[in-house]
Amino acid sequence: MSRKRAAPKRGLSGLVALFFFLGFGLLALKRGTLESAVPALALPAVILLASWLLPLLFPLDRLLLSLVSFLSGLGILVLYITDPSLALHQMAACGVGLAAMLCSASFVRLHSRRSGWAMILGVLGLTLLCLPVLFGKEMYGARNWLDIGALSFQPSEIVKPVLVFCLAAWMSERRILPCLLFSALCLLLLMLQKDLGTALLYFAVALLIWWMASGSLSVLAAGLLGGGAAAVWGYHHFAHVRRRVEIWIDPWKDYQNAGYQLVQSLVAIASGGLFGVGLGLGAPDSIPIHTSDFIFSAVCEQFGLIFGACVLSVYALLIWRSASVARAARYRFHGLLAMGSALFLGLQAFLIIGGVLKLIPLTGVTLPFVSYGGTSMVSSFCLLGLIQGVESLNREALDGDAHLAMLGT
Amino acid sequence: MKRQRYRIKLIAMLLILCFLGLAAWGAWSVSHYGNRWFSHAGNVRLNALKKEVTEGDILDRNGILLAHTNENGVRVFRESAADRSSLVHILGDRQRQIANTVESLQAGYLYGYQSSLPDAVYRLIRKTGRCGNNVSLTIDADLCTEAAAAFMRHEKTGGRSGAAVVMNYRTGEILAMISLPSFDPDNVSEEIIGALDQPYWNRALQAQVPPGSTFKMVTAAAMLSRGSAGAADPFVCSGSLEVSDTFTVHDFSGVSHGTLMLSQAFTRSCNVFFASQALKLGSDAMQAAAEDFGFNRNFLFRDLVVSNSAYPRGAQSPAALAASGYGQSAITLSPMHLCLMTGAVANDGIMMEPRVVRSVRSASGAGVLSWSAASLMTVCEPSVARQLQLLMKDAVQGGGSGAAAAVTTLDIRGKTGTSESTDHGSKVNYGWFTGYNAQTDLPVAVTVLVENIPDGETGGTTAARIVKDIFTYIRNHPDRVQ
Amino acid sequence: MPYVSAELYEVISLAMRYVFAFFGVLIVLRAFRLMLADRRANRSRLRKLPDAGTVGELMVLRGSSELPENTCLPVGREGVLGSVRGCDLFVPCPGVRRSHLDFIWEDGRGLLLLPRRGCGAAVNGAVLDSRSDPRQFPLCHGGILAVGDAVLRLHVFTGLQTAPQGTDNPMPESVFFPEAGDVCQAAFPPAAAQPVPQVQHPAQGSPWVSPQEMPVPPEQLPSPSSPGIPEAYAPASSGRVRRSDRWKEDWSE
Repeated sequence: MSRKRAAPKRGLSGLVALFFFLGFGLLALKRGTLESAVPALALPAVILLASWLLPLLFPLDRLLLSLVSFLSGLGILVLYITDPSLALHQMAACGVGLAAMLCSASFVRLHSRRSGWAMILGVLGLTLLCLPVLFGKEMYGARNWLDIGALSFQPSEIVKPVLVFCLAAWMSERRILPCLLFSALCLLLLMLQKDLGTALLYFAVALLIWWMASGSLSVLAAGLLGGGAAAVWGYHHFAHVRRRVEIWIDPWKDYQNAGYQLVQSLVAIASGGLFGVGLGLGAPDSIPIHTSDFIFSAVCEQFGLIFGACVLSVYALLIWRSASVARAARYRFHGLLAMGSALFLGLQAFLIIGGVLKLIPLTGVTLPFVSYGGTSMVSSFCLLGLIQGVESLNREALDGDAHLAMLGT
Repeated sequence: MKRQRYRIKLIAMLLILCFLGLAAWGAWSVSHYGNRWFSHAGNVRLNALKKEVTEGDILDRNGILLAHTNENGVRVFRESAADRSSLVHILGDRQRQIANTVESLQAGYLYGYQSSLPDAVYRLIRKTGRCGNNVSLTIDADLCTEAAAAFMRHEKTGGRSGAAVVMNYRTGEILAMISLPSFDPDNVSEEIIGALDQPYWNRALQAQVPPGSTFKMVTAAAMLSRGSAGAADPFVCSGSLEVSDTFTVHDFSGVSHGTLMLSQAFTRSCNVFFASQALKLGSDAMQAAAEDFGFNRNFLFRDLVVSNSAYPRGAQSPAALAASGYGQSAITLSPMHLCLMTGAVANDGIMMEPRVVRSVRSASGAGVLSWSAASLMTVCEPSVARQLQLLMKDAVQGGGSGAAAAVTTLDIRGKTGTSESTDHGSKVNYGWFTGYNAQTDLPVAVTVLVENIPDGETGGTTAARIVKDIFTYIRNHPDRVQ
Repeated sequence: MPYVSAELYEVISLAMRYVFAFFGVLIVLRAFRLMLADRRANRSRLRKLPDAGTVGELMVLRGSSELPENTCLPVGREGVLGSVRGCDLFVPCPGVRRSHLDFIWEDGRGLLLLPRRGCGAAVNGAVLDSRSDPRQFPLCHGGILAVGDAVLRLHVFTGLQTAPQGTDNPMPESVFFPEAGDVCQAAFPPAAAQPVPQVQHPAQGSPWVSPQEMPVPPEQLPSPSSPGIPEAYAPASSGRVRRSDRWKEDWSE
């Protein structure tokens, strides 16, 4: 019977911390300087501290925290191989992200009876999305970056938690009209910014939240058909969509120009083999955009396919855990909130890993928690915070029920 | 709320299933295509490695050194020009103009990219420079030289383009593969680089040529396996068959065969018989039989890159269907595929995967990879295969069109083929012979293609002689190919 | 930090490959086991607290052939009431649509009811439809809910607060039955002014029922443990006094 007892909760964060200690330690051996040994001690310490200390101050789900710290640490490790300054930026972004996670979790706890905030946030989100269309900076063919002083950020990332919150709030009250309007406007603004990958994500998440709340198969079918029709229209209308599909079908034809990114990614994954070429060996910087979009290829090259499959499983576990949180929620609003956030994270991971492995065309989204990018990190942590908030409410409700049960006897 | 919970569970399960599918797709595509991706010219890692690693040796199945890097870092091939030119399409040339050769596809092993831990330790302790692994091939180098010489020996084939593939049909090992015109990799002149007959092209793997009468084995297999009545009934051949207003089937040089059964039709290679059988079978049955034999299939072999063979899909017009019966319509295949088909028939219906790499050993002698036979697919029932074997026996030993390929003390069976196609407006004739030795101690299949044979010549008068020379050599040196 | 030679680093890195792959698999497996253990713990907790998540029960005063009287339906915090089996409150009576109304519990107020479009319900006689404000008509402890042909009474578990009105009124003044049929409509205004409880029941074209069919006083109602209750709704045979039995103390006079 003792074998069936649950393993201690700290076991996971300890494993993660040990893994990063070994990883950074190995890289420190390669660089041979004293300051390169600092991350080997600092990062595991931060992870352990966060997983021990934070849940004391705030009701948090330790398992989710450990999994996410594994992913973020992996991103920092891969960035550290090629450019330590990027790794430092990423660590700072992680810190900001943790704060954002606590903020959004508190927001969910305080405003668990919704509605008032949804309208305000919705309007705020739309304005944020409007800004790049008016003042935006163009990068990689999409106009979705915004410069404010020294900071540049992507509003389309920040509006993700807003979208989930508003849609969950309105759909749980069966107010279909604001939902429809908001989603349509968001999609329109994203199309204007030519950020088609994020538009696809928004569309999929909005459709699925709708279906989860209402259960009408007709809307789901109509949405899928409409999405398919829009994709076909986009293919005929936009030149760069056509180019992306051509590269997806045969990247080897023009491997020096158009197909260069995908070819280098595939070559890197093949070079890794099952166990990888070894941390610090190989050539991860030969992969274009290996810091954000193609970071999964860099992971597969360094650590191998087995480890890549483990990273995939971590995302799957994230989704599973969020689904059980959503199912245990007492109110429909909370369930939709948790599952909507999980869908954003999971679908984004699926899209980019599928693109990198040539299963689907590249869509230009980043891998949540792993890719380099401040806004992406903060928004992913925000979404995680929504899930954590719902989980903390679930726990409170369960404690309340146990308390009530005692009153009755 | 209950229903929302149920929907959440459904979506979560679907998404997790998608992730599983993604992992499975990644595993499948890397295991099948990984070698090709890695060997691609755009691989920066390999190029960086080549500067510091001594490339490993390539040996043939009998231990003859085919390629070696000497102390000055120069890649040295065999000593005589004839040997070098017969192996160049297998090994690769210095300028890397020939695609998908052993030097490029096995570069990972030759440069020791996936260096194992014991090797690294060995290098660290012994303080030796890095060198790659040694690759042993299934090829018999002297057989390649003999095959190329056989082309030149006969006046009807000397100087013409062509290809030859020799394989062990029980294990799938490729014993020889030549493509002509060839060249000496040590003496590459300007003429060769710009030559019109494309010496860099590996015709054995990439040529897409109509099979001609050799396709009749597929038609016969279709007849036998579908229980078509024509297998046992006599047929009257009048020398020509009018299929439609525009198309009439003729036999070679207008010969009328009279009354014949399947075996005689096969032996004498009667076009009219097979055209009418194809019309009786119909487009779907013919296409199914062709696809059973590997047409329209995406070949994904580990050691070789072979062009896909094509059989017209869907319903065909009567003229095209009749022409398909004797292998003349839009059907194309490569000499390697025909050899695989012949080997499959000889192997009681099981087609083996062609392998070129026999084993890979590291510089310290440790084994890195060793070859194992793998079957690819089943092309027909064993009973059908045995009947085809008897038909092929008559074609060579029973006074049929392939009599020129018979060798004493060997049990040679096979099929001739003559086909034509138009190349840039001018008509080109191809001569085929594909055959095998039915003895269990020498299970060898040979396919020879001769391009641009003169009018009036057939596969039986051109390619069959080369096959006879190859089999004679094998008979005289059996230990080399076992 | 001593500088390590490239060959030695390569050996170490090659050896560590297997260690890292092992760690990756270990992390995934450990997380998976933790998740399963959490699930098991949750299940056992729910088994010990069968009423977890529920705020009370709806007792059937008048049902149908498939929903016998004195059945207790557990009420969660939020859900759907309808005549389809997947609903949180399964009320298979004529007059109740497949998804009839949404209900949600609000602390300090009671059970708020939001009928779907084209559906109606009556809370203590007051008629609700999809346009009315649910916060004005909360269903509180002892309140009577009428949907279609069914009449249900809410018992809230102790410890949960409802709005003051309705808790000290165990006996409804009037009960209102909307017309049978697919569209639930109130035919008459709330009968608050009438002192005699008017019980109306649609029968053979006449919208009213004979006055003999009055709601049974609670003392004469069979206890939940009588054999008339279907298995699914019988209390757990753990011997433990269910919280909902407390309602008997409220009613007994």
